[in-house]
Amino acid sequence: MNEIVRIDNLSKKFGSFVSVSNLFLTVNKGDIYGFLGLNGSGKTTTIRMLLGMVHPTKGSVSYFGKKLSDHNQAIWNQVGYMVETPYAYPNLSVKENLTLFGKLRGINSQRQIEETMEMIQISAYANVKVKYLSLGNTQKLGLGKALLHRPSILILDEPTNGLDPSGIVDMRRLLYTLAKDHGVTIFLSSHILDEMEKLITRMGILHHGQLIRELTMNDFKAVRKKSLRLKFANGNPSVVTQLKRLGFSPQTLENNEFIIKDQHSVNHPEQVNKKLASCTIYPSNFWVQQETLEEYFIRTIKQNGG
Amino acid sequence: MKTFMRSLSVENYKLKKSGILWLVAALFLFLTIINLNADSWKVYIGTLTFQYSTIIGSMGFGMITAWVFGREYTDRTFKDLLALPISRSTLIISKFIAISIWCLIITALSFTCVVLLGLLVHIPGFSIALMIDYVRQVLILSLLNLMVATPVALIASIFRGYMLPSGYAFVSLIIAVLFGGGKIGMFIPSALPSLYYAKESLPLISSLILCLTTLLGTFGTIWWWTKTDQR
Repeated sequence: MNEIVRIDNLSKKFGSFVSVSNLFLTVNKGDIYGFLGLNGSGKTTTIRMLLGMVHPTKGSVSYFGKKLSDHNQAIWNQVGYMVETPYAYPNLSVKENLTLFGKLRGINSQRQIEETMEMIQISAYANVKVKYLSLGNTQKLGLGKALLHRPSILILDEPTNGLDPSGIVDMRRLLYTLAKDHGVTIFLSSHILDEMEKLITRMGILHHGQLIRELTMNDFKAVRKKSLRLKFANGNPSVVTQLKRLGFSPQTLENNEFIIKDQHSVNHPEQVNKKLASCTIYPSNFWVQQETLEEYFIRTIKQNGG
Repeated sequence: MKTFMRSLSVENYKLKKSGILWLVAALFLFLTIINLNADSWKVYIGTLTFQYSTIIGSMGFGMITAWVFGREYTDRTFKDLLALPISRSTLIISKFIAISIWCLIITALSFTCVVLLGLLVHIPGFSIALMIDYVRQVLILSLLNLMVATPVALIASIFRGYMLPSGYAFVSLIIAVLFGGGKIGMFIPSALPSLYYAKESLPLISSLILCLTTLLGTFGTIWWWTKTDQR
Protein backbone atom coordinates (compact mmCIF):
# COMPACT_ATOMS: atom_id res chain seq x y z
CA MET A 1 0.00 0.00 0.00
CA ASN A 2 1.37 3.38 -1.02
CA GLU A 3 -0.74 5.48 1.34
CA ILE A 4 0.65 5.21 4.86
CA VAL A 5 -1.26 7.97 6.65
CA ARG A 6 -4.51 9.58 5.63
CA ILE A 7 -5.97 12.55 7.45
CA ASP A 8 -9.57 13.08 6.48
CA ASN A 9 -11.37 16.34 7.25
CA LEU A 10 -9.71 16.51 10.65
CA SER A 11 -10.79 19.30 13.01
CA LYS A 12 -10.16 20.04 16.66
CA LYS A 13 -11.78 22.67 18.83
CA PHE A 14 -10.77 23.51 22.38
CA GLY A 15 -13.85 25.32 23.68
CA SER A 16 -14.46 28.02 21.08
CA PHE A 17 -10.84 28.00 19.87
CA VAL A 18 -10.36 26.19 16.59
CA SER A 19 -6.94 24.59 16.67
CA VAL A 20 -7.20 22.52 13.48
CA SER A 21 -9.79 23.00 10.79
CA ASN A 22 -10.85 20.62 8.03
CA LEU A 23 -7.43 19.18 7.43
CA PHE A 24 -6.93 16.75 4.56
CA LEU A 25 -3.51 15.25 4.11
CA THR A 26 -1.84 12.04 2.98
CA VAL A 27 1.63 10.72 3.62
CA ASN A 28 2.85 8.16 1.13
CA LYS A 29 5.37 5.37 1.48
CA GLY A 30 8.91 6.73 1.35
CA ASP A 31 7.91 10.34 2.00
CA ILE A 32 9.87 12.50 4.35
CA TYR A 33 7.01 14.88 4.99
CA GLY A 34 7.84 18.23 6.57
CA PHE A 35 4.92 19.64 8.53
CA LEU A 36 5.62 23.35 8.86
CA GLY A 37 3.88 26.09 10.76
CA LEU A 38 4.33 28.89 13.24
CA ASN A 39 3.91 28.29 16.96
CA GLY A 40 0.22 27.79 17.66
CA SER A 41 -0.59 26.88 14.06
CA GLY A 42 -2.00 23.50 15.11
CA LYS A 43 0.98 21.28 14.24
CA THR A 44 1.35 19.65 17.63
CA THR A 45 -2.41 19.20 18.02
CA THR A 46 -2.48 17.47 14.62
CA ILE A 47 0.42 15.24 15.61
CA ARG A 48 -1.31 14.38 18.87
CA MET A 49 -4.47 13.50 16.96
CA LEU A 50 -2.33 11.34 14.67
CA LEU A 51 -1.16 9.50 17.78
CA GLY A 52 -4.57 9.19 19.40
CA MET A 53 -3.56 11.40 22.31
CA VAL A 54 -6.14 14.02 21.42
CA HIS A 55 -9.58 13.08 20.12
CA PRO A 56 -10.65 14.93 16.97
CA THR A 57 -13.81 17.02 17.10
CA LYS A 58 -14.45 15.90 13.53
CA GLY A 59 -12.77 13.75 10.92
CA SER A 60 -10.51 10.74 11.10
CA VAL A 61 -6.96 9.44 10.86
CA SER A 62 -6.11 6.20 9.07
CA TYR A 63 -2.89 4.21 8.96
CA PHE A 64 -2.36 1.67 6.19
CA GLY A 65 -6.03 2.04 5.28
CA LYS A 66 -7.32 1.30 8.78
CA LYS A 67 -9.05 3.95 10.83
CA LEU A 68 -7.50 4.84 14.14
CA SER A 69 -9.69 3.80 17.05
CA ASP A 70 -9.46 2.71 20.69
CA HIS A 71 -9.83 -0.90 19.55
CA ASN A 72 -7.10 -0.91 16.95
CA GLN A 73 -3.92 -0.97 19.01
CA ALA A 74 -2.09 -3.22 16.54
CA ILE A 75 -1.52 -0.13 14.38
CA TRP A 76 1.02 1.14 16.90
CA ASN A 77 3.32 -1.79 16.11
CA GLN A 78 4.15 0.04 12.90
CA VAL A 79 4.32 3.57 14.27
CA GLY A 80 7.22 5.15 16.13
CA TYR A 81 6.87 8.60 17.60
CA MET A 82 8.47 11.36 19.56
CA VAL A 83 6.38 14.32 20.67
CA GLU A 84 8.19 17.54 21.53
CA THR A 85 10.87 17.18 24.22
CA PRO A 86 10.97 13.50 25.07
CA TYR A 87 11.05 12.36 28.67
CA ALA A 88 12.02 9.11 30.35
CA TYR A 89 12.00 7.65 33.86
CA PRO A 90 14.71 9.76 35.52
CA ASN A 91 15.79 7.20 38.13
CA LEU A 92 16.27 4.44 35.58
CA SER A 93 19.22 4.10 33.22
CA VAL A 94 19.06 4.55 29.46
CA LYS A 95 19.14 0.78 28.98
CA GLU A 96 16.47 0.18 31.62
CA ASN A 97 14.22 2.77 30.00
CA LEU A 98 14.64 1.15 26.59
CA THR A 99 14.14 -2.33 28.05
CA LEU A 100 10.89 -1.34 29.78
CA PHE A 101 9.63 0.46 26.73
CA GLY A 102 10.59 -2.53 24.58
CA LYS A 103 8.71 -4.86 26.91
CA LEU A 104 5.55 -2.81 26.45
CA ARG A 105 6.01 -3.29 22.72
CA GLY A 106 6.68 -6.99 23.09
CA ILE A 107 10.44 -6.75 22.48
CA ASN A 108 12.56 -8.90 24.76
CA SER A 109 15.69 -9.04 22.63
CA GLN A 110 18.61 -7.34 24.37
CA ARG A 111 20.39 -7.37 21.04
CA GLN A 112 17.70 -5.19 19.47
CA ILE A 113 18.02 -2.76 22.38
CA GLU A 114 21.80 -2.64 22.00
CA GLU A 115 21.53 -2.15 18.24
CA THR A 116 19.12 0.71 18.82
CA MET A 117 21.52 2.33 21.29
CA GLU A 118 24.30 2.05 18.72
CA MET A 119 22.09 3.46 15.99
CA ILE A 120 21.35 6.58 18.03
CA GLN A 121 24.91 6.74 19.38
CA ILE A 122 24.01 6.51 23.04
CA SER A 123 25.71 3.19 23.95
CA ALA A 124 28.29 5.04 26.06
CA TYR A 125 25.48 6.19 28.34
CA ALA A 126 23.69 2.82 28.55
CA ASN A 127 24.04 2.55 32.32
CA VAL A 128 23.70 6.24 33.13
CA LYS A 129 20.51 7.29 34.89
CA VAL A 130 18.37 9.47 32.66
CA LYS A 131 18.32 12.32 35.20
CA TYR A 132 22.05 12.83 34.52
CA LEU A 133 21.70 12.99 30.72
CA SER A 134 22.05 16.19 28.71
CA LEU A 135 19.02 17.43 26.79
CA GLY A 136 20.61 16.24 23.57
CA ASN A 137 21.12 12.71 24.86
CA THR A 138 17.59 12.65 26.29
CA GLN A 139 16.45 13.60 22.79
CA LYS A 140 18.46 10.69 21.38
CA LEU A 141 16.87 8.35 23.91
CA GLY A 142 13.44 9.61 22.80
CA LEU A 143 14.36 8.76 19.23
CA GLY A 144 15.62 5.38 20.40
CA LYS A 145 12.21 4.63 21.91
CA ALA A 146 10.60 5.64 18.63
CA LEU A 147 12.90 3.33 16.63
CA LEU A 148 13.12 0.38 19.00
CA HIS A 149 10.44 -1.70 17.29
CA ARG A 150 11.63 -0.83 13.76
CA PRO A 151 8.47 1.05 12.72
CA SER A 152 7.31 1.63 9.15
CA ILE A 153 6.47 5.23 9.93
CA LEU A 154 8.10 7.70 12.26
CA ILE A 155 6.17 10.69 13.56
CA LEU A 156 8.46 13.30 15.04
CA ASP A 157 7.56 16.63 16.57
CA GLU A 158 10.60 18.91 16.80
CA PRO A 159 13.15 16.07 16.85
CA THR A 160 16.12 18.45 16.94
CA ASN A 161 15.02 20.32 20.07
CA GLY A 162 17.98 20.68 22.39
CA LEU A 163 20.53 19.19 20.02
CA ASP A 164 23.84 20.94 19.36
CA PRO A 165 24.80 21.72 15.73
CA SER A 166 26.63 18.42 15.35
CA GLY A 167 23.68 16.56 16.90
CA ILE A 168 21.33 18.24 14.44
CA VAL A 169 23.47 17.08 11.50
CA ASP A 170 23.66 13.54 12.99
CA MET A 171 19.89 13.49 13.40
CA ARG A 172 19.38 14.59 9.81
CA ARG A 173 21.77 11.90 8.55
CA LEU A 174 20.09 9.25 10.64
CA LEU A 175 16.63 10.17 9.42
CA TYR A 176 17.89 10.26 5.84
CA THR A 177 19.44 6.81 6.21
CA LEU A 178 16.28 5.43 7.80
CA ALA A 179 14.21 6.71 4.91
CA LYS A 180 16.62 5.81 2.13
CA ASP A 181 18.08 2.50 3.31
CA HIS A 182 15.31 1.12 5.51
CA GLY A 183 12.26 2.50 3.70
CA VAL A 184 10.92 4.25 6.79
CA THR A 185 8.32 6.89 6.03
CA ILE A 186 8.83 10.02 8.11
CA PHE A 187 6.41 12.75 9.13
CA LEU A 188 8.12 15.52 11.04
CA SER A 189 7.72 19.06 12.21
CA SER A 190 10.56 21.40 12.99
CA HIS A 191 11.33 25.10 13.17
CA ILE A 192 14.84 24.57 11.81
CA LEU A 193 13.87 25.05 8.20
CA ASP A 194 17.44 24.95 6.84
CA GLU A 195 17.66 21.38 8.08
CA MET A 196 14.20 20.53 6.81
CA GLU A 197 15.13 21.82 3.36
CA LYS A 198 18.02 19.36 3.21
CA LEU A 199 15.90 16.41 4.32
CA ILE A 200 12.27 16.50 3.31
CA THR A 201 10.71 15.32 0.07
CA ARG A 202 7.26 16.85 0.61
CA MET A 203 5.85 19.56 2.81
CA GLY A 204 2.64 21.01 4.09
CA ILE A 205 2.32 24.46 5.63
CA LEU A 206 -0.23 24.80 8.37
CA HIS A 207 -1.48 28.25 9.34
CA HIS A 208 -4.24 29.01 11.84
CA GLY A 209 -5.15 25.32 11.77
CA GLN A 210 -5.53 25.13 8.00
CA LEU A 211 -3.28 23.57 5.40
CA ILE A 212 -2.49 26.56 3.21
CA ARG A 213 0.13 24.94 0.98
CA GLU A 214 1.22 21.43 0.15
CA LEU A 215 3.94 20.65 -2.35
CA THR A 216 6.82 18.36 -3.18
CA MET A 217 10.38 19.63 -2.96
CA ASN A 218 10.56 19.52 -6.77
CA ASP A 219 7.51 21.81 -6.90
CA PHE A 220 9.17 24.04 -4.33
CA LYS A 221 12.33 24.29 -6.43
CA ALA A 222 10.21 25.36 -9.37
CA VAL A 223 8.12 27.98 -7.54
CA ARG A 224 10.65 29.56 -5.23
CA LYS A 225 11.70 33.06 -6.12
CA LYS A 226 15.15 34.03 -7.33
CA SER A 227 16.95 37.35 -7.08
CA LEU A 228 20.16 38.83 -8.36
CA ARG A 229 22.62 39.92 -5.70
CA LEU A 230 25.45 42.40 -6.12
CA LYS A 231 28.07 43.11 -3.50
CA PHE A 232 30.66 45.86 -3.66
CA ALA A 233 33.95 45.80 -1.86
CA ASN A 234 33.83 49.49 -0.94
CA GLY A 235 30.93 51.77 -0.23
CA ASN A 236 30.06 53.88 -3.26
CA PRO A 237 27.06 56.18 -2.74
CA SER A 238 26.55 56.66 -6.46
CA VAL A 239 25.99 52.93 -7.19
CA VAL A 240 22.25 53.12 -6.59
CA THR A 241 21.92 56.12 -8.91
CA GLN A 242 24.01 54.40 -11.55
CA LEU A 243 22.00 51.19 -11.31
CA LYS A 244 18.74 53.13 -11.59
CA ARG A 245 20.11 54.99 -14.61
CA LEU A 246 20.71 51.57 -16.23
CA GLY A 247 17.05 50.74 -15.73
CA PHE A 248 17.28 48.53 -12.63
CA SER A 249 15.26 48.88 -9.41
CA PRO A 250 17.77 47.85 -6.78
CA GLN A 251 16.96 47.31 -3.12
CA THR A 252 19.75 48.15 -0.75
CA LEU A 253 20.84 45.67 1.89
CA GLU A 254 23.55 46.05 4.52
CA ASN A 255 27.28 45.77 3.75
CA ASN A 256 27.17 47.34 0.27
CA GLU A 257 24.88 44.61 -1.02
CA PHE A 258 22.02 45.15 -3.47
CA ILE A 259 19.16 43.01 -4.75
CA ILE A 260 17.63 43.13 -8.19
CA LYS A 261 14.38 41.22 -8.39
CA ASP A 262 12.97 41.78 -11.87
CA GLN A 263 12.62 38.42 -13.55
CA HIS A 264 14.35 39.38 -16.82
CA SER A 265 17.53 40.37 -14.96
CA VAL A 266 17.35 37.28 -12.75
CA ASN A 267 16.98 35.02 -15.79
CA HIS A 268 19.73 36.79 -17.77
CA PRO A 269 22.45 37.76 -15.33
CA GLU A 270 25.04 37.84 -18.11
CA GLN A 271 23.20 40.79 -19.72
CA VAL A 272 23.17 42.63 -16.39
CA ASN A 273 26.89 41.99 -15.98
CA LYS A 274 27.53 43.33 -19.46
CA LYS A 275 25.56 46.51 -18.74
CA LEU A 276 27.40 47.05 -15.48
CA ALA A 277 30.77 46.57 -17.15
CA SER A 278 29.88 49.06 -19.86
CA CYS A 279 29.45 51.67 -17.13
CA THR A 280 32.59 50.51 -15.30
CA ILE A 281 30.58 49.19 -12.37
CA TYR A 282 32.42 46.17 -11.08
CA PRO A 283 30.80 44.34 -8.15
CA SER A 284 33.13 42.15 -6.06
CA ASN A 285 30.43 39.46 -5.90
CA PHE A 286 27.62 38.83 -8.31
CA TRP A 287 25.25 35.88 -7.99
CA VAL A 288 21.72 34.61 -8.41
CA GLN A 289 20.23 33.70 -5.07
CA GLN A 290 17.36 31.25 -4.71
CA GLU A 291 14.71 31.67 -2.09
CA THR A 292 15.35 29.38 0.87
CA LEU A 293 12.64 27.27 2.44
CA GLU A 294 12.64 29.67 5.37
CA GLU A 295 12.07 32.68 3.08
CA TYR A 296 9.41 30.79 1.13
CA PHE A 297 7.69 29.79 4.35
CA ILE A 298 7.66 33.37 5.69
CA ARG A 299 6.41 34.71 2.36
CA THR A 300 3.64 32.10 2.23
CA ILE A 301 2.58 32.87 5.79
CA LYS A 302 2.53 36.63 5.05
CA GLN A 303 0.47 36.09 1.92
CA ASN A 304 -2.05 34.30 4.11
CA GLY A 305 -2.35 37.12 6.60
CA GLY A 306 0.25 35.85 9.06
CA MET B 1 -3.22 -11.82 28.73
CA LYS B 2 0.33 -11.63 27.34
CA THR B 3 0.10 -7.86 26.97
CA PHE B 4 -1.30 -7.58 30.49
CA MET B 5 1.58 -9.61 31.95
CA ARG B 6 4.10 -7.49 30.04
CA SER B 7 2.52 -4.33 31.31
CA LEU B 8 2.35 -5.69 34.86
CA SER B 9 6.02 -6.65 34.86
CA VAL B 10 6.94 -3.13 33.68
CA GLU B 11 4.86 -1.53 36.43
CA ASN B 12 6.33 -3.89 39.02
CA TYR B 13 9.85 -3.00 37.93
CA LYS B 14 9.18 0.75 38.09
CA LEU B 15 7.65 0.43 41.56
CA LYS B 16 10.41 -1.83 42.84
CA LYS B 17 12.99 0.73 41.73
CA SER B 18 11.18 3.63 43.37
CA GLY B 19 11.86 5.05 46.79
CA ILE B 20 8.20 5.47 47.75
CA LEU B 21 7.75 1.84 48.85
CA TRP B 22 10.66 2.00 51.25
CA LEU B 23 9.51 5.38 52.54
CA VAL B 24 6.16 3.86 53.51
CA ALA B 25 7.88 0.80 55.00
CA ALA B 26 10.22 3.06 56.99
CA LEU B 27 7.21 4.99 58.32
CA PHE B 28 5.65 1.75 59.53
CA LEU B 29 8.94 0.67 61.11
CA PHE B 30 9.06 3.98 62.96
CA LEU B 31 5.52 3.39 64.29
CA THR B 32 6.57 -0.11 65.34
CA ILE B 33 9.59 1.15 67.25
CA ILE B 34 7.62 3.76 69.20
CA ASN B 35 5.15 1.05 70.24
CA LEU B 36 7.75 -1.41 71.51
CA ASN B 37 7.21 -0.42 75.13
CA ALA B 38 3.66 -1.88 75.10
CA ASP B 39 2.52 -3.93 78.16
CA SER B 40 1.26 -6.90 76.19
CA TRP B 41 1.19 -8.37 72.68
CA LYS B 42 -2.52 -7.59 72.45
CA VAL B 43 -1.90 -3.87 73.08
CA TYR B 44 1.24 -3.85 70.92
CA ILE B 45 -0.22 -5.57 67.88
CA GLY B 46 -3.64 -3.97 68.39
CA THR B 47 -2.22 -0.43 68.39
CA LEU B 48 -0.06 -1.14 65.36
CA THR B 49 -2.98 -2.67 63.47
CA PHE B 50 -5.07 0.42 64.22
CA GLN B 51 -2.24 2.69 63.09
CA TYR B 52 -1.81 0.48 60.04
CA SER B 53 -5.49 0.81 59.17
CA THR B 54 -5.27 4.59 59.36
CA ILE B 55 -1.82 6.06 58.79
CA ILE B 56 -0.22 3.39 56.60
CA GLY B 57 -3.36 2.28 54.82
CA SER B 58 -5.00 5.60 54.16
CA MET B 59 -1.91 7.75 53.80
CA GLY B 60 0.76 5.24 52.72
CA PHE B 61 -1.25 3.38 50.09
CA GLY B 62 -2.61 6.73 48.90
CA MET B 63 0.92 8.05 48.47
CA ILE B 64 2.00 4.96 46.54
CA THR B 65 -1.03 5.26 44.26
CA ALA B 66 -0.40 8.98 43.78
CA TRP B 67 3.21 8.26 42.89
CA VAL B 68 2.41 5.47 40.40
CA PHE B 69 -0.11 7.56 38.48
CA GLY B 70 1.08 11.11 39.16
CA ARG B 71 4.70 10.47 38.34
CA GLU B 72 3.79 9.60 34.74
CA TYR B 73 2.60 13.20 34.43
CA THR B 74 5.33 14.98 36.42
CA ASP B 75 8.03 13.04 34.55
CA ARG B 76 5.95 13.52 31.38
CA THR B 77 6.34 9.84 30.53
CA PHE B 78 2.57 9.39 30.10
CA LYS B 79 3.02 10.27 26.40
CA ASP B 80 5.03 7.09 25.95
CA LEU B 81 2.07 5.03 27.15
CA LEU B 82 -0.55 6.44 24.82
CA ALA B 83 0.27 4.97 21.42
CA LEU B 84 1.29 1.43 22.24
CA PRO B 85 0.01 -1.96 21.11
CA ILE B 86 -1.45 -2.32 24.62
CA SER B 87 -4.82 -0.83 25.47
CA ARG B 88 -4.82 2.01 27.97
CA SER B 89 -7.30 0.16 30.19
CA THR B 90 -4.84 -2.76 30.39
CA LEU B 91 -2.12 -0.31 31.41
CA ILE B 92 -4.30 1.21 34.12
CA ILE B 93 -5.42 -2.15 35.51
CA SER B 94 -1.82 -3.37 35.60
CA LYS B 95 -0.89 -0.23 37.53
CA PHE B 96 -3.62 -0.96 40.10
CA ILE B 97 -2.54 -4.61 40.37
CA ALA B 98 1.12 -3.62 40.78
CA ILE B 99 0.12 -1.19 43.54
CA SER B 100 -1.86 -3.95 45.27
CA ILE B 101 0.98 -6.46 44.99
CA TRP B 102 3.56 -4.07 46.43
CA CYS B 103 1.29 -2.74 49.17
CA LEU B 104 0.70 -6.34 50.28
CA ILE B 105 4.44 -7.08 50.12
CA ILE B 106 5.17 -3.97 52.21
CA THR B 107 2.47 -5.05 54.67
CA ALA B 108 3.87 -8.59 54.93
CA LEU B 109 7.44 -7.34 55.41
CA SER B 110 6.35 -4.73 57.95
CA PHE B 111 4.34 -7.22 60.00
CA THR B 112 7.20 -9.69 59.96
CA CYS B 113 9.34 -6.90 61.43
CA VAL B 114 6.61 -6.15 63.99
CA VAL B 115 6.59 -9.77 65.16
CA LEU B 116 10.39 -10.14 65.18
CA LEU B 117 10.91 -6.88 67.08
CA GLY B 118 8.15 -7.77 69.55
CA LEU B 119 9.76 -11.14 70.21
CA LEU B 120 13.19 -9.56 70.48
CA VAL B 121 12.15 -7.16 73.27
CA HIS B 122 10.12 -9.91 75.00
CA ILE B 123 6.72 -8.24 75.04
CA PRO B 124 4.58 -10.52 77.23
CA GLY B 125 1.49 -12.43 76.04
CA PHE B 126 2.56 -13.75 72.62
CA SER B 127 0.35 -16.45 71.15
CA ILE B 128 -0.02 -18.01 67.69
CA ALA B 129 -3.83 -17.71 67.86
CA LEU B 130 -3.52 -13.97 68.50
CA MET B 131 -1.16 -13.64 65.56
CA ILE B 132 -3.44 -15.55 63.20
CA ASP B 133 -6.35 -13.34 64.20
CA TYR B 134 -4.36 -10.14 63.53
CA VAL B 135 -2.90 -11.44 60.25
CA ARG B 136 -6.48 -12.04 59.07
CA GLN B 137 -7.49 -8.54 60.17
CA VAL B 138 -4.47 -6.92 58.56
CA LEU B 139 -5.19 -8.68 55.27
CA ILE B 140 -8.78 -7.46 55.27
CA LEU B 141 -7.68 -3.96 56.26
CA SER B 142 -5.12 -3.96 53.43
CA LEU B 143 -7.82 -4.79 50.90
CA LEU B 144 -10.14 -2.11 52.32
CA ASN B 145 -7.34 0.46 52.19
CA LEU B 146 -6.46 -0.47 48.62
CA MET B 147 -10.12 0.03 47.67
CA VAL B 148 -10.25 3.39 49.44
CA ALA B 149 -7.05 4.53 47.67
CA THR B 150 -8.38 4.07 44.11
CA PRO B 151 -9.78 7.64 43.76
CA VAL B 152 -6.23 8.90 44.35
CA ALA B 153 -5.36 7.50 40.90
CA LEU B 154 -8.20 9.47 39.34
CA ILE B 155 -7.15 12.68 41.09
CA ALA B 156 -3.52 12.13 40.03
CA SER B 157 -4.64 11.67 36.43
CA ILE B 158 -6.95 14.68 36.37
CA PHE B 159 -4.51 17.02 38.08
CA ARG B 160 -1.48 15.53 36.33
CA GLY B 161 0.87 15.05 39.25
CA TYR B 162 1.33 13.54 42.68
CA MET B 163 1.23 16.56 44.97
CA LEU B 164 -2.52 17.08 44.91
CA PRO B 165 -3.46 13.40 45.26
CA SER B 166 -0.92 13.05 48.08
CA GLY B 167 -2.63 16.04 49.70
CA TYR B 168 -5.98 14.30 49.18
CA ALA B 169 -4.61 11.19 50.93
CA PHE B 170 -3.41 13.32 53.83
CA VAL B 171 -6.72 15.21 54.14
CA SER B 172 -8.59 11.88 53.94
CA LEU B 173 -6.54 10.67 56.87
CA ILE B 174 -7.29 13.82 58.90
CA ILE B 175 -11.01 13.56 58.12
CA ALA B 176 -10.99 9.87 59.08
CA VAL B 177 -9.25 10.63 62.38
CA LEU B 178 -11.51 13.62 63.18
CA PHE B 179 -14.86 12.23 62.15
CA GLY B 180 -14.31 8.49 61.83
CA GLY B 181 -15.30 7.85 65.45
CA GLY B 182 -18.61 9.72 65.13
CA LYS B 183 -21.89 8.69 63.56
CA ILE B 184 -20.94 10.08 60.18
CA GLY B 185 -17.80 7.89 60.14
CA MET B 186 -19.76 5.15 58.41
CA PHE B 187 -20.25 7.48 55.40
CA ILE B 188 -16.61 8.56 55.07
CA PRO B 189 -14.70 6.17 52.77
CA SER B 190 -11.30 6.77 54.37
CA ALA B 191 -12.75 6.06 57.83
CA LEU B 192 -14.16 2.67 56.83
CA PRO B 193 -11.02 0.55 57.37
CA SER B 194 -10.71 1.77 60.98
CA LEU B 195 -14.47 1.34 61.43
CA TYR B 196 -14.07 -2.26 60.29
CA TYR B 197 -11.17 -2.70 62.69
CA ALA B 198 -13.26 -1.38 65.56
CA LYS B 199 -16.41 -3.42 64.77
CA GLU B 200 -15.07 -6.35 62.71
CA SER B 201 -17.81 -5.68 60.16
CA LEU B 202 -19.23 -2.84 58.10
CA PRO B 203 -22.83 -1.61 57.88
CA LEU B 204 -24.47 -2.19 54.49
CA ILE B 205 -24.39 1.49 53.60
CA SER B 206 -20.65 1.61 54.35
CA SER B 207 -20.04 -1.44 52.17
CA LEU B 208 -21.96 0.25 49.35
CA ILE B 209 -19.97 3.46 49.76
CA LEU B 210 -16.77 1.43 49.68
CA CYS B 211 -17.80 -0.34 46.48
CA LEU B 212 -18.87 2.92 44.85
CA THR B 213 -15.59 4.57 45.83
CA THR B 214 -13.63 1.69 44.30
CA LEU B 215 -15.69 1.72 41.11
CA LEU B 216 -15.36 5.49 40.81
CA GLY B 217 -11.60 5.34 41.35
CA THR B 218 -10.94 2.43 39.02
CA PHE B 219 -13.34 3.05 36.15
CA GLY B 220 -13.01 6.83 36.49
CA THR B 221 -9.27 6.51 35.93
CA ILE B 222 -9.74 4.17 32.96
CA TRP B 223 -12.31 6.53 31.51
CA TRP B 224 -10.03 9.52 32.01
CA TRP B 225 -7.10 7.84 30.24
CA THR B 226 -9.16 6.51 27.35
CA LYS B 227 -11.82 9.11 26.69
CA THR B 228 -10.27 12.48 27.42
CA ASP B 229 -7.54 14.35 25.57
CA GLN B 230 -4.08 13.58 26.92
CA ARG B 231 -2.03 16.69 26.17
